[in-house]
Amino acid sequence: MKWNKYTKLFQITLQNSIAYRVDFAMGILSGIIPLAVQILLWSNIYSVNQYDTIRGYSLPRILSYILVAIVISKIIQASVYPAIAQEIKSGTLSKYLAKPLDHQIYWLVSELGGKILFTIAAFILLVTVLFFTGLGISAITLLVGALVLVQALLISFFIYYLLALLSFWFLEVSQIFTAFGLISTFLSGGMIPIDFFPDFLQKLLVFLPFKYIIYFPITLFTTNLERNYVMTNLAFQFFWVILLFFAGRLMWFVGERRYSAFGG
Amino acid sequence: MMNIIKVENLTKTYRNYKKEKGMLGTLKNLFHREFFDTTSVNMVNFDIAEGEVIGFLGPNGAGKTTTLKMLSGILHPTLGTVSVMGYCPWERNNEFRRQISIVMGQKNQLWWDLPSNESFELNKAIYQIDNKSFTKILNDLVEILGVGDLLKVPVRTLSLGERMKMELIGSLLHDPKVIFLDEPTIGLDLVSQKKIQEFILEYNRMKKVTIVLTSHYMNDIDNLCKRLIVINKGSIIYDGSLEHTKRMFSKSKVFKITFAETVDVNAIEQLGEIISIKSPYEIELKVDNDHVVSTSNIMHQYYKILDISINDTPIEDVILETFNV
Repeated sequence: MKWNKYTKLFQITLQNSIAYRVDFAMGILSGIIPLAVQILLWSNIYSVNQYDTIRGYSLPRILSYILVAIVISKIIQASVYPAIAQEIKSGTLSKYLAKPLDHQIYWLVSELGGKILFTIAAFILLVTVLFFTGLGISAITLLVGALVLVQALLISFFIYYLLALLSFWFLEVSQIFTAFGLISTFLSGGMIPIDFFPDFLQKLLVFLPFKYIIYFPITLFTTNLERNYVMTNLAFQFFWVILLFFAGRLMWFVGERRYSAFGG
Repeated sequence: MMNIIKVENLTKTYRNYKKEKGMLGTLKNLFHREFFDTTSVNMVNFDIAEGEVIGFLGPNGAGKTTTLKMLSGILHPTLGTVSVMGYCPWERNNEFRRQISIVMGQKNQLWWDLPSNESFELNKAIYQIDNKSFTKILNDLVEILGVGDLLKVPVRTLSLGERMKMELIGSLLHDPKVIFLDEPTIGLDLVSQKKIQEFILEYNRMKKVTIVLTSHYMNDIDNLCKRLIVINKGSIIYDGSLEHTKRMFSKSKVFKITFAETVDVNAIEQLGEIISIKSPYEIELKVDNDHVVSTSNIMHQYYKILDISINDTPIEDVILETFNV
């Protein structure tokens, strides 16, 4: 695999992404509404019942969690999957097949190129938020955190890549994306911390990739995690990256045979 | 001459699902789907020698594009084998893909919102073309096609003819040995068609590349190909020289006449075979080549005519009658 094949593609998608800066800003702003709802909701729950902590979370802690969750969700949010699905459906996939390209790598590079500027911006925002909520962050945590975010982004991309390839079998996958997005955000701890889930669900989540997408990055940034715990979870994250990468390649191998190239 | 492309028993069958009209039909489909198989390419055999420019001619839906897609590796066949430069196309070996090119008249491959030169740079990276070769080939092609001042504008602002020229350039930068052209002049005006045809001819002369072309315009084939394969309903019904085919195809012409007043149809029938009568005033008439001039004279002398045109028999009709399909 010759990586320099894709550097021009990276540059093009990066340049194109600048055109979407307003979209991005709107996306961040739109996160404020759910945040406001959450702040009101949790403040009321805590004060009406006069709780100090729920499942170990104090009010400030849970609000920090939610704020950081919103920013991290924006960082790892996959974006090219609708285009992948659309190409298969409309027959425009054909143009790649006759070129010496790897479909999965091509789209991964497109995704990364399109996201890098915003990821950096959101990362800066994240660090600001952390200092703003009084949590602060050490240099080491920042570095490890960056690695964790990158792996989380890859996991998210590879999962959505798999879903997009379902277009080889199903005509309409947009509903699948929506449904999956909700489930995934929920199970990743993107709405409320995983600690609030029933025990059986928490046990199940150990075997699924979801908690490594949002929950692990958030807890890394907002709590003092033990080094061993971090190393183990980093390893599990890496395992999921590799597994989902190969699952995508297998899905492609099986799916593209079914491609009918309709539409001309 | 070495055979660079070998095709044996190539077959492609699609499975389609039946759907009845309306809500009831949609609901039924949720539970039980009936299907029917369509064979779009049926046991096709041919060989192509290196450097040939060969044309696939046939009506819409004949299987030309599907065949081309299998030759370029875009589609997997249901049955059969293909060898292009020794490779099996649908294995999609990178070495294979680096030496071929496909241009589809109905599908853009250049990035729509970007200037052509950005897409060309992208191809340069993908095909790993070195700077020197890239610059030389690009400059040569741009000069021949005369599109120098269009390189920096977004592709979406170009006219169809200009876009086609850019698509061609983009497909030739990596110096492919085998080029597949699927309906390259579709939708183009006559001038653009001619320019594209001239370019392809010249390119083949210079580079001795193998070109496989599909079209439903006799015009394309006429100007470009020495050998012609006629395909209809998935099967090859003729594979031979163009000259021979032209002699067969030129048996008659079609007169389209708009008369200024009602005419006696029986009288017209004496001159040729009536294809259609759209009203007492508009008649389509098939006339043998030998009688074209005399019929034209009769029309002008004895009838009041608003409009008259003399056309080649449409290719679909020719295939129908010549090959008794």
